[in-house]
Amino acid sequence: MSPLPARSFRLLALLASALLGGGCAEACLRNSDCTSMEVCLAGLCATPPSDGGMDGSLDAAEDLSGCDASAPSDMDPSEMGEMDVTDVCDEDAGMDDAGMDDAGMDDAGMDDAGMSDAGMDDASMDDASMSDASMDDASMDDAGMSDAGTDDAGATDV
Amino acid sequence: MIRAATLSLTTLALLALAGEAHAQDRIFRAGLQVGGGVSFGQGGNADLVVRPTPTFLDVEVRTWSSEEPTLSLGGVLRLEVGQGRVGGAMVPRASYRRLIGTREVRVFAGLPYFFAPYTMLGAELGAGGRIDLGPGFGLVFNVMSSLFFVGSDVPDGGAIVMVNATVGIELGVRP
Repeated sequence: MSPLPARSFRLLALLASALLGGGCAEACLRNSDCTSMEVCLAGLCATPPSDGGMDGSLDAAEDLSGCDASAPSDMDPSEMGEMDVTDVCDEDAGMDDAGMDDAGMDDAGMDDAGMSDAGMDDASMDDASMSDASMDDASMDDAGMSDAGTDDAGATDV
Repeated sequence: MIRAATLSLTTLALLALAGEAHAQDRIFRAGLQVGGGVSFGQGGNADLVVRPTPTFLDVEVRTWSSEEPTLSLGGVLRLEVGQGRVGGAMVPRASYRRLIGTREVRVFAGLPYFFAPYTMLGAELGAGGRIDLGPGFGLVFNVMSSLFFVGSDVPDGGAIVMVNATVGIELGVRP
């Protein structure tokens, strides 16, 4: 027996159920068959994937609110937006306000080791420059004082 | 004074006759129909999804020239009112009509465009007829198939097929 009558009967049954309103209640054909927050995907109403630039970081952004208390208080909000939220929350314990400001580094190169190195470098640089400055100042002062003493002495002589 | 009034009346009468003659060259019909049917689309796993088409009201106006009575042009203002929704569409339509006695049969093609609150553009083909019930008054009916393939109401990558029928009344309109 040909399957055509069976298929025809099935199609007629579908048409009859549709006309009588007995079709599948969840099925949709048009986006307007769904609620305003849904679209029709493959015959079913579903929430459309968000494509507003929040690719999976929505939860992390929500977590950020829980990290606000430990976040640097003087951080520029624009820098906050550029930083990886997860890194801030994970590595916040090893960061202090002074280190963030002094290092002046972007978040891409910021890690605990880099922070330590930067602080060490700053410290050694400061120490060196301070030593040099103090030495220069000392020598300059010494020379100036010597010169002044010489000039004064010369003026007094004149 | 009397001559001026007579001249004015004569002029108005001539203009009226000219307008009447012009009106006889072009025939207008307007009708109100109610329609419904079924809609098809593709669901998941290539299954066929069938839903009833929302009930709609068609306000149709069409016109043709007495010199070319087989071709009529017109349009439909469609209001979807079924299934708890309200939608608006317009359908420019061209018909090829033939008279069989006092009855009319026609085939037509149109471009249905839903413009509110969602958009949906498609094409339709159909056939219909008209049975005179009195002077300038008739019963009209149509069967049409529409294919919608673009618009905010059409699912991405999908299409919607509608097979609908309408029935209503039509009046002759003399502009």
